Amino acid sequence: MPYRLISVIGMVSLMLGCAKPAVDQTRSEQWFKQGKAAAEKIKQQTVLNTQAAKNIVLVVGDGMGITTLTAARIFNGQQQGNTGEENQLSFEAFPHVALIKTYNTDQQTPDSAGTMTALISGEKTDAGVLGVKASAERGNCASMAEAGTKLNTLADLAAKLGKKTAVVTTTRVTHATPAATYAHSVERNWESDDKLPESAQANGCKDIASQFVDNWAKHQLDVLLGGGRRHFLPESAGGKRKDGVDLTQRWQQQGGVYLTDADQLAAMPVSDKPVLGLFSASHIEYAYQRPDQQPGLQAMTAAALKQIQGNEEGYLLVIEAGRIDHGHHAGQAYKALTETEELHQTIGWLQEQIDLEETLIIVTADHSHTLTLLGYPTRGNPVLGRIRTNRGEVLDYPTLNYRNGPGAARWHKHSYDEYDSAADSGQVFQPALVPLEYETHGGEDVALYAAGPWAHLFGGTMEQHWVYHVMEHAFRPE
Amino acid sequence: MIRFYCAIFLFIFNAQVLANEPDFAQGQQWLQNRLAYFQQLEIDSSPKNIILFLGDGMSITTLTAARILAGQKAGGSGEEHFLSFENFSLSPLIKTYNTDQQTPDSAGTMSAIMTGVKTRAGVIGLGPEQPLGWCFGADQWQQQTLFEWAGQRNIDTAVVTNARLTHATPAATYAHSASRAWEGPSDLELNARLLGCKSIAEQLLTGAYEDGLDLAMGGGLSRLQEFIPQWQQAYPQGIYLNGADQLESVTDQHPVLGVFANSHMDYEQDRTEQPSLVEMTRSAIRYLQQRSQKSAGYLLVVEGARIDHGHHKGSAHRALTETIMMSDAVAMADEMTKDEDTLIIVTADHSHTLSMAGYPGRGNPILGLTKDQQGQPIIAADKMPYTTLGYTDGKGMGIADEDRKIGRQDVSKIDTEDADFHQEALFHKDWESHGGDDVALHAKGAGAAGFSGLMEQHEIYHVMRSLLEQRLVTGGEH
Repeated sequence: MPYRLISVIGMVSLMLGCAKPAVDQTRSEQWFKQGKAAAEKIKQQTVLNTQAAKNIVLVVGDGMGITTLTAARIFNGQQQGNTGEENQLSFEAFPHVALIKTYNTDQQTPDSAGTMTALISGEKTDAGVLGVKASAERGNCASMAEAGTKLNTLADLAAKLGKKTAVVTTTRVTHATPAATYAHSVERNWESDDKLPESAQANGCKDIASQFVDNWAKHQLDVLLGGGRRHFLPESAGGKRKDGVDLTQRWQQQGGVYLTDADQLAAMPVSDKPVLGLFSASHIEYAYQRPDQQPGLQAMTAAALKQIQGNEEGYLLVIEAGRIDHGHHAGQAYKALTETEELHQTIGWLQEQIDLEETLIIVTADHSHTLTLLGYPTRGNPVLGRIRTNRGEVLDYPTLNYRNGPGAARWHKHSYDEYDSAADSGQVFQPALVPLEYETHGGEDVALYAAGPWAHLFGGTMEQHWVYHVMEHAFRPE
Repeated sequence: MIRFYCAIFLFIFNAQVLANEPDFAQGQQWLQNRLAYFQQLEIDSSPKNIILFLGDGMSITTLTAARILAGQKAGGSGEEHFLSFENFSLSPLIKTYNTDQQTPDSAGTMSAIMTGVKTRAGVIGLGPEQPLGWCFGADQWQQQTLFEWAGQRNIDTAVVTNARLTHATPAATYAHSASRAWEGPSDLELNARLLGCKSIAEQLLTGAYEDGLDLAMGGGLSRLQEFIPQWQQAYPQGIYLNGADQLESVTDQHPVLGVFANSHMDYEQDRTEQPSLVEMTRSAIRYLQQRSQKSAGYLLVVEGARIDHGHHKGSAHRALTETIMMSDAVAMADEMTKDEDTLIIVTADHSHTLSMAGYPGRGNPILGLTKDQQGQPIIAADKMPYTTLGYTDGKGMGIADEDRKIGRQDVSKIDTEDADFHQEALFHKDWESHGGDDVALHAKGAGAAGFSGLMEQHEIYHVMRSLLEQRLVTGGEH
């Protein structure tokens, strides 16, 4: 049969619904049967959806490298009492996978500002800059004055197409990844005016929080949820702003809805008014120790979806699990894995709410980290614990380690069995070699999982900014 | 009805060289190429021939680092480069664990790929029911390999490696052994001798060719030599090669055995007289193509074995140069074959602990110290610089064995790009160990769409077998 571009309603959602069948892993027969069924299933799913995507959900696990995925998958499976390796995170069931090259134009191992700009604006740029081309110079406001330096974002395009747009994150909303969806700044650290140098102010550069409120007519984000209140409030109100401006008041004066806790978020009525939710002074707390008044990633995603899903023209929803990255930087794998687990649960819930026939969903990372998963633990060995081998040896170090970071100075202080007994307390630092205040990013490729219209365009090893071009095409295929 | 004889231009976009600048225009150009590829795609085509390249230990980080090294050798900054197979159309991720080990070994993983059944670490071609190192019961739990299956269907089979032909990965294509260690007669444990289990070498030369193997090339004379006279007697028409210059003499004699080294073959950078992986691959493909009139197709497995050995030795230089050579072999295989009848798969059996850390500037030598965008070495808290590449365990820092040091050492005066430099390692061990994170699979050609998403390793077998079955039934028409 000649290949035709056809779409079959519900096909993908059906596929996502079924987890891999349980296998008695000690039996050849079972492995063989399961493998055969899996190959058959792939055959049946080779039907490609080439209609325009009404909606796009772009999910970024900040710093969610491939080792993070493997470790989080095992961790999650073990939390349910299984050996873990056979587990699958919700989005790992998506049919289309690509490997993503993450480098910035000026850095081999990238930062989140340059990478998110590539994803959301379709062009690689320098580390540390948001929504501007590589021709601009980091920290030099005057360098972005030139016409054509600012990059348009997918949110701009979505708004032009009449779509609603929403961004949710567990970091400050002014942090690099979410900021790249609405701001243009030669410096990611200009979150509020206290960090904005006078020369930059003189040259007309605005801090990121101000850009969100004052440039709303331009970016038109309908929903922005996360942390980072301090960058919107003046010092007098406990914030960081030196200009004395209370941006949350200004936001409400210009007709926006402003939310500060989980209850308000849950009670928020659906309306056409733009919503800004700032649920903590800085980042939202890690999932494992989050206070009740702060909403989690799933609660924020649900609230955002409620606001935008009724729009006839569709929506763009950007979700960042921002603190996977922070757990890694802290040298504490437990934090990174539990944050990844929260993302897994959020996407598991989300894929039941959306119609994959008309919604392109992409789950990727902006960059990797230096986490490694070392040999040779036995099957089902607790992934945060020490290595136990098939011969019954117990090694003096755990399966998960970092190349560098705070762990280098601290891991010797842990007793050996702390990696077993307290591994899931958020107190333990993984061993690391190179002593640095913060563990660094990793430079190797990250994964991208996708399902829905045009998701088949993802495949092979891709430059990160190509992801944008697939999304743009999916929104308006010609 | 028009019958489409697999009119695929599967890799049309590879032929068009993309602009090097990672900007918006390049993204658009890539998209157009990708769309054109799907216009031409015959999605349910099946291959007559399959070439499976197995980069032993070729982790995701190895791919990224090798790509950068290859790009830098060609005079670029490196990150923008692609290895030959990284532009292949499909790239699922593969879960590598063995049934009894979280981080796997090569015997269990290659057995999964060749028999469709995941099994224990250390076991070759037998199910997980078989205890490691115990001959008893090995007949009962023997799993048919894809080579044996193909041999019964007049599909030619061939294996090429630069390891010993009796080493775990090549052995899993033709042998069944309760221990990967039983390579030669003198390696057999007492229970194997008493219960009559045959060495892997004996299985290759007295059994595998009987079962349909047509060509084997690699090292391992020390294990094989005892059986070579027997093989020559059984196959008087066959051709036995032991020098690189003889590769050209392979014509239509059948079958072929090439043994070019006493143990493993040389690393590419040390190689003088032995044939390269590229040369062996070329010779094997030419041989299989000459036989194509007589056979129903071919199945060729090529192992880039010494990527793994470079890593185990703690020498990223060796691992990366071996990876680049395999990339060259893939490029050549791609040129020698047609997408409409040949499926090319490039994957790894497992990962390693190599990590790529810090924030080196764009184009920083991948084997060098981590230097910032201004070219200054980044200094850690212990006042010493660090290399971009490092391992979690292994020999540690220093050049060659006698100089190795545990943990950190000031390498600012050492040539870290030397082939014998050992990258820094957190845990001092004689051998660096495998990594447990997922590996990539890149595929192109007829049937490539059979690979999708996140896959269990043994599913690779089922996709290959199902594609070959489909071809046998349809003869390529569909």
